[in-house]
Amino acid sequence: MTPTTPVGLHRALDAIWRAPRGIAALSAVNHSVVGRRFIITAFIYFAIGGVLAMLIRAQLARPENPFLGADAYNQIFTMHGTVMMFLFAIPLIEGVALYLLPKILGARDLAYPRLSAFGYWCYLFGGTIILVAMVMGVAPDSGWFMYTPLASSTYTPGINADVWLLGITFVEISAVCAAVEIVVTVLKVRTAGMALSRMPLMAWYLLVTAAMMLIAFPPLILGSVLLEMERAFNWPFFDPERGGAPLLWQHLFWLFGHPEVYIIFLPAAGAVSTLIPVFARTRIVGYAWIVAAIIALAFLSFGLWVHHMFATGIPHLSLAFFSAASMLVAVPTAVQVFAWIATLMRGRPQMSLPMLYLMGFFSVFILGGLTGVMLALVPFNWQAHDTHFVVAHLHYVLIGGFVFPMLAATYYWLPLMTGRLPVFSVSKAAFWLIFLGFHGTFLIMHFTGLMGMPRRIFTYESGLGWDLPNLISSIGGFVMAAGFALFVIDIVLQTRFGRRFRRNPWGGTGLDWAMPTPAPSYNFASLPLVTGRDPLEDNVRLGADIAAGKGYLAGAPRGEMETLCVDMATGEPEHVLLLPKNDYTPFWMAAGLAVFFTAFLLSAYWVAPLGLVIATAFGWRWLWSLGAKSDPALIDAGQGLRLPVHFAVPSVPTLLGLKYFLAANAAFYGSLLFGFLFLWTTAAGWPPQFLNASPVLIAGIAISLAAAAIFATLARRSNSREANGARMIWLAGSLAASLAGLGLLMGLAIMDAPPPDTHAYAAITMAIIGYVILHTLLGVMFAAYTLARCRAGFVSSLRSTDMRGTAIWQLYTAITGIGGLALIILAPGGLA
Amino acid sequence: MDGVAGQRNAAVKVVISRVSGGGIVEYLGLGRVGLRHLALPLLLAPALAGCEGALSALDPAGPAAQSIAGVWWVMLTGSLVILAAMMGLVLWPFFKRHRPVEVPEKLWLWVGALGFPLIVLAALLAWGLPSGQSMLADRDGQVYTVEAQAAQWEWTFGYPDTEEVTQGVLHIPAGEPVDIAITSADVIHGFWVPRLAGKIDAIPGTTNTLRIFAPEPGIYEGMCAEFCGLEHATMRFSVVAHPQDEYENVLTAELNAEARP
Amino acid sequence: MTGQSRRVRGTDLVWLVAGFTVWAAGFSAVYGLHAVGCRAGWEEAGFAGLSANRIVLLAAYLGHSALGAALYFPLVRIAARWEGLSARTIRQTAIMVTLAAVISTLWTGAPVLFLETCR
Repeated sequence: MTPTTPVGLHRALDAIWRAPRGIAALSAVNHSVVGRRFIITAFIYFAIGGVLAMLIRAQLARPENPFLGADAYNQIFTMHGTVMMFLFAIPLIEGVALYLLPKILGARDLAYPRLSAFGYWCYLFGGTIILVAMVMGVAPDSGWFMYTPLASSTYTPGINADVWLLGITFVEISAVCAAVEIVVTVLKVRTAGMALSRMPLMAWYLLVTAAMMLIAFPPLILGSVLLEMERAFNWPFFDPERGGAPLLWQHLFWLFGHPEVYIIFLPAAGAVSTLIPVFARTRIVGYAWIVAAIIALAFLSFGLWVHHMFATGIPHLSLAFFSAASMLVAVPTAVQVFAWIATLMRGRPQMSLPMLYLMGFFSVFILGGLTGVMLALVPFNWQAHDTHFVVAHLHYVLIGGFVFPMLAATYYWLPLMTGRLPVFSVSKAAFWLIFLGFHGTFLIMHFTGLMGMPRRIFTYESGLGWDLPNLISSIGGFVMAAGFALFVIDIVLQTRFGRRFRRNPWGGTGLDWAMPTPAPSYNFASLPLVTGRDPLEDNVRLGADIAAGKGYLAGAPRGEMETLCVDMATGEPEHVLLLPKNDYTPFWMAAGLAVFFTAFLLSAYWVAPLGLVIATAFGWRWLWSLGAKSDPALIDAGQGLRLPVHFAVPSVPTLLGLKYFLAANAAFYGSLLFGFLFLWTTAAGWPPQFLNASPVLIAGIAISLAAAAIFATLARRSNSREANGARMIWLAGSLAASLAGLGLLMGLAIMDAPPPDTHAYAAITMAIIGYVILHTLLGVMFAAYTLARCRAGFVSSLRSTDMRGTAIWQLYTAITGIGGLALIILAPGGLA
Repeated sequence: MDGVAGQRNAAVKVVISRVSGGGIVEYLGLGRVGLRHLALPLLLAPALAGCEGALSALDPAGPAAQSIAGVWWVMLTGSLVILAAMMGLVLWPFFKRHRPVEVPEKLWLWVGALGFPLIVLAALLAWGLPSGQSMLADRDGQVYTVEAQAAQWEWTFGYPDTEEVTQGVLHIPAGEPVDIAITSADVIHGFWVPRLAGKIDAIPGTTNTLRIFAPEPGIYEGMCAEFCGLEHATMRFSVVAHPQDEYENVLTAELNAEARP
Repeated sequence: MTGQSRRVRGTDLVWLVAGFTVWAAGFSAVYGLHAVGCRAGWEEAGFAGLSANRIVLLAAYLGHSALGAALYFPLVRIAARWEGLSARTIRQTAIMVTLAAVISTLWTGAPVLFLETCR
């Protein structure tokens, strides 16, 4: 019997969606749970980073302060930057996105709940490695930017830099996972009728942010891998004495580092775009303008990275391109600010609590933007670079453009989590302490910097005009810290004693407020049909209708966890996504990686592969759990709609996710090839050693990889023609071709390539070959996996995900493999 | 260590001679002093104490530093005006007298969000890019060139036609442009003499050239600007500009003094 | 406009990024060719008072600007046929982004016109 009352629907849904308790909490994959974990963990890191900041301000409060020594100070400022950027800002964005997205899109969960759970464990374990190192006094101490050669083993022989490289890489896995998750969720997992043009702006912001993360994080991951290879195995990518280039690291780091600033800013700006119309009681002005602006911003932000390198001696004309781009990026930001102002003007805004924090955002962020324009000016940058002026600027941008909006967002959305409203007076006092403390700390710091105080110095002598400004900054810093402490107290008070309310306390118009509060585990008892940008305005009884099951997929009549997948552009329902139940696999897979990273960190290189084997085994198990052994029937989605199940349609989200993962992977590989070209054009005496590759061997590799791709495609075609004998033959052919390619590649690496520790050319050539070997090895595994799946009955013409995935992978491997080898042999010194 | 630095500071205080000269502001016919008075009251009180300092980029002595300090005061004034205007627009709707107004969307965004910033930014670039180019060294060997080599955590300076070097102190002739060929023996450092010119990195395996010009004899303090490890904070040096007619003799004497400690 | 009206498809979203993809290609080309040209000594060769380096950079700059501008015409033709949900917003946005990309290409490459190369 299917329940039809709101209470009955709630009971039925909550029974299968409820978060597990006790030790089983490790198996939770629900987006609300994982999002909340991300957010809380990120705020804990924020507190840790804040304490580090206070240590910095305490040390700099007075000239020649004996409080901290240089060694401790270097660890502290490095950790402050690292924690705030990698363990606070990015994970907080991920957490907010994972928590909010299904709620604003009208879905019950994300596209891949287990992937975000896996990402959380990677974040937690990686962050823990870094934190433990700090407690043991071996924290990274080369700056959060880790410039080589300072971070190379010659000048940082201890474990410190390895902690950073391995810990951050581990954490970044979660960023890439979250990026894939967010892109696919926004594009596919929405409720009926939610066309792109009806999406809340926040979803656009998160879509663009996630797309940026896909391209921006790989260069950093690559840089970290290369530097760790240099440190662990003496491959001299960055060593100028063996053909390496220290600047290569800076390019890779800032190619990530500058987009990162916008990755942090955009979701916060999304919160601003969400909150302003709500509190101005009107609609946003210039929806299409804002979407266009953030797309422009996303691209332009990749053309700014060299403005962190204006003082490295790059030819002036090159600087000019980046100077022009750095100025231009102010324009899309201005478009958003002017749209927000026009929205305020059009409405009757109330100075409620979130709005108060938004006023803080405006004043701080605009000033940060203006100093950003100043720094984009090459001559001024030559003076201001690496001084406290830049410290002031970046805090104006990041605290103004991220922390203030996020505090506003916290006050706005916390009632959704807790069902309680803030205790107003405490939060107001917290705001003023944070706001005044912030300006007290950083306004004067512009001046300190122009008075010549460089960054990253642990002490200074009196008489340079720096004493008083530093004292003021330190006092301001402690005021701000008191404000944040009060904020935490306020949040705790609100969670415990806040005023209860029924629905929609702020008068929001999005689906996030069309659910009971605190938000139920399944979000929506039924999925509504959306008819405009402001669903709650179009139908004031929407919340009650949803709860009463007057939508799609009401309740849980099949005992499955279901949500809708829609057409990307129009939001028309396409199929039903069956979501996974709670699962320990993500936890154990991340634990396997933790073994790998920890072993590598402790130089236990023979234990490290064990971790990879564990992770791979659980990855296999994860994939194996997808799909079904028989073709599923259509599902009655309600309202007279019958839809197929996700794994029985060609547009399954799994494949879309694979493609976006490969886009990130291609960004990684592109960065590696960029490294090859960069070293070729900058390094002296290139190349010193020749790759003695015989043309026959190279041709053999190319043919094997191409054959593996072609056979996999033929297998896919046979499968869709239901030629089940042929598909097995082609798959076996693809497997054999991959194996042959693997063998030939190993031969190339072992016999023909010069030893990688002799010269940067040899090292980066080997890195490219290594990349191709890894992908060919995974190609072998994919082909074998799909063969096994066919035998087990998971694959049919309808259930073709495995086939399609393998074909895509083999094609990617062939293109990147052949392209990389072509670059190597066409560059000087390639062929024998 | 501290004693040396202290002595150096004392020396600087004696030698500092305030030099006024050309920059963007003079170029625009505004007059540097006037603008300074306009901008300064808007700064926080401590800034009023003055911008003088041995390492202050706002107390410029060389033409490059002067030009940059000039544009800073222009940009500061402009920024404060823009900030005030923007905050006025943001806060105005909160006043009781505000009535909801439908802003003409296209006009507002085209003029405010596109036109206005593009014009301001184009003007900044039109000044900044040629200006930056004019500050570069020529690399044609016409200018007196000295060498600076950074190493953890000391600066070593070499001169034409001699093997002898000086450490921690760079001697240059006053009143003529000098190119400094900068490199590093180990990690990346940064060469910065704020009162003379902007900074440039000292990178191992590479030589970067920076042009400086000290119009008057005097001592100009410099530092390592790029984080370089444990003693980064104290990696200072001095540039001593000597009158042109005395330079050769002084340099020879200094090199001899360094040679036999 | 000729052609049948049709609904916006997922693949049409490519128009939201096409313009700036050309910008990114142009930006990379000008930046990369400048580095290569200075390293390879293209500064020495050339004719009509322009160095080979400058000619290559101008070609890359103007070529990508023209390519970005050329995108506008097929876009307008194709976008005019979109109908149904999202059509108007995606059309407006795509046109704005494409124009913004052309302006960006002209803007960021403009130093090629008046600054010295290789200094």
